[in-house]
Amino acid sequence: MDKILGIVNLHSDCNFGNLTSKKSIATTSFLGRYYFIDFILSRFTNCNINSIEILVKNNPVSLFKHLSVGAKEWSVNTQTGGINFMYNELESKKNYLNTDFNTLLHNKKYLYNYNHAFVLFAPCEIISNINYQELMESHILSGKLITIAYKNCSDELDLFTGVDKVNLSDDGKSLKYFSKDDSNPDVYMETFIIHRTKLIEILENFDLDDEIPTLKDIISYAARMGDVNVYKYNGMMRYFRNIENYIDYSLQMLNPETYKKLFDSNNPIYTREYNSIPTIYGKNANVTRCYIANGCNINGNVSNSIIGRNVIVEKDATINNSIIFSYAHIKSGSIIEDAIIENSTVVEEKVKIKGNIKKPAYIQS
Amino acid sequence: MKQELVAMLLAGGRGVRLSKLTKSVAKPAVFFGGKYRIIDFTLSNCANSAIKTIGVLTQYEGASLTEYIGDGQKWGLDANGSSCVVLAPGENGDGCYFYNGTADAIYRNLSFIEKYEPEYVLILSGDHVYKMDYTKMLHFHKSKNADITISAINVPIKEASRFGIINANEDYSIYEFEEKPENPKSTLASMGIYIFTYKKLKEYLEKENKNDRKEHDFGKHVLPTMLKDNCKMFVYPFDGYWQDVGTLDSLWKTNMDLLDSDELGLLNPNSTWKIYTQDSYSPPQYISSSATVSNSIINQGCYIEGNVKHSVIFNDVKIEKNAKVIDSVVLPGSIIKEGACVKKCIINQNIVIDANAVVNDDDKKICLVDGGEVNG
Repeated sequence: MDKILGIVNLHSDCNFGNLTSKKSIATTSFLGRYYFIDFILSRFTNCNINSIEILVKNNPVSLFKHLSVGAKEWSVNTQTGGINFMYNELESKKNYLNTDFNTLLHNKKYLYNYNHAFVLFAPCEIISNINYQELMESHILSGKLITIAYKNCSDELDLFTGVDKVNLSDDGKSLKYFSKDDSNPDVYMETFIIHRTKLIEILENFDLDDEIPTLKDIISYAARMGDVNVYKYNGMMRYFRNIENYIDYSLQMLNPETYKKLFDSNNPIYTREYNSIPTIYGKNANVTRCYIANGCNINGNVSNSIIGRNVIVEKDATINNSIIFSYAHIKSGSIIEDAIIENSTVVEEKVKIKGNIKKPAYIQS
Repeated sequence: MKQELVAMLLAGGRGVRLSKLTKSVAKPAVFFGGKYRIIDFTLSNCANSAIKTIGVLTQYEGASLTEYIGDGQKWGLDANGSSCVVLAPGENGDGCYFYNGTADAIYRNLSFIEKYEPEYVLILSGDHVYKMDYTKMLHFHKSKNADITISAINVPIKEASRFGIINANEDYSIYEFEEKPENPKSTLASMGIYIFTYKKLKEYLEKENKNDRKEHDFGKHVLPTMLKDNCKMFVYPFDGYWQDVGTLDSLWKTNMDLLDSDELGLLNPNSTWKIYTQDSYSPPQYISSSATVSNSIINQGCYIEGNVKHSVIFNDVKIEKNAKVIDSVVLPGSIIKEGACVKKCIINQNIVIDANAVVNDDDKKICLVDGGEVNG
């Protein structure tokens, strides 16, 4: 079986505003129990990808902390594989130099140590059930330099304004060019696969006097040579690009149908184990349509919301349409609606916090 | 590598009074508290007490326990310099053997203990639910310059006749053991936790082995012999919560205690004495728009559409619409179908309760539900 080295590419232009001012999307809380990066790492390991590099853009501390427990938490075989970091400390503060290509260039030497045939790049802000082995098969059959993944999103086109689209060749088998054409339904999934030796060749032949490109520039260049194959993905996909669709998509996951698509027992989502206790529901708890992580103590009214680990909701507190991060404490009589409450925030008694669906309130202590 | 103290955990118990719950698992592997297995408590106590070497002695349904314990990673006992080793009976130069009693089990593993040249050996049982810092007991043992220290808990006088009772002087030195006495002189019940000074342990195990009897037991044989020989024996009074969950009633009651008082402190999220266990990699629990949940504890992976009241629900349990779960303990992976009603039950793992079924309607005693069978 051909082996794939999986690279989580954290060089992304997406951000969740205040939520990601000090940390990356990778370590932003998702569905109470997870960080975003858990989904891509689990996707990799569920597709038998056991060697993983993380291409870090900036703010690495929370990432190091999350992954410090060891790769086996994400079901990686730590002898034949592992999770490692590719980071460029020196240039991480210089925006114009801090591209995915440059970080890779600085960590080029590590690519020599692998015996894997292919290198796969994928982002952490897109959640899907893509099968990377199928992507690899498609790549091998095509004989091309690179294969990219895309999804036809014609039934929800308005969700993808401003994202990179894939303009296909006339036979639909290769990439002509990327565009931001809002009428094009073919959304680029920021995911591609390349032979490891070819990638090393590109990095070795790069002229250091040239302007620093991005990996997408390299794909665009190959597309002009007609050397980029396309793989069409048809399953569930959620593309988290800003704080509005972060809360919107998160709360959509409360739909039982979406739950079934996301949580399939054959494709478990792994995360760091915190040994939290089970959640306690008090005599006055009134909870409907919620995801609740472990370690909570809930004695108030919670509906249509996502509650992180070890959150306390006191009697007569009311939470609706909101996301509460770990260790928050919501005191008696407070009312929280359409809001995001940051980690460890204490909402005092009888405080009212109200945002709106388009612009959720964001509270941090 | 030399260790000051080696722990030996007796985990071979069958737990016959737990009925079908121990049909295919050893008693220490029985589930407790929404997330845990009984043995997690002792192993977490060891890890939290910074004990690095633990031998786990298995016998009944040993394979399931061996699989669960693995290399001790779940409790962080897999670091370099630590070892958590399952010691099952087997075959040696003298032929095949089983462990014939608690003292025999330790005697047959003296070579394991010897490797670490310990000064003290802590003997534990995998059958109890409690949080205890063994370091404090070791300090006590050293301060008394004891040959053996036995941990004991104060029980109500009317229950004392169910336990092995220890009678001690004011300086905690022991002068008498009474097994299930009709008229107990004290209320100090042995918890089955001993610290031996290793030399004495070895001496008395070898002495006991010379006795030609079918079974060699600490409580029945070794300790009385030591008392007769005027060994320095002390009782260490433990003032925390401790429960032997050896019967269905006590297992159910101890689970319900978590909801009502939690003297164990298991559910205190700020506790620094954590209990470690296996992670089930399940999604967060989902409480649907038709659910009502109160006065209960629920673990990850549950999908709740029905009504849960005063119950302990383990991971990956599904409770469908209009189903009612009251005063019950539901073990991992079970499904309570639409409209079913269960009261005062322990539902074994991976059981399906059919739609509209009514289990234990008169709720006078605790029921164990196991694959279409109901056992009181």
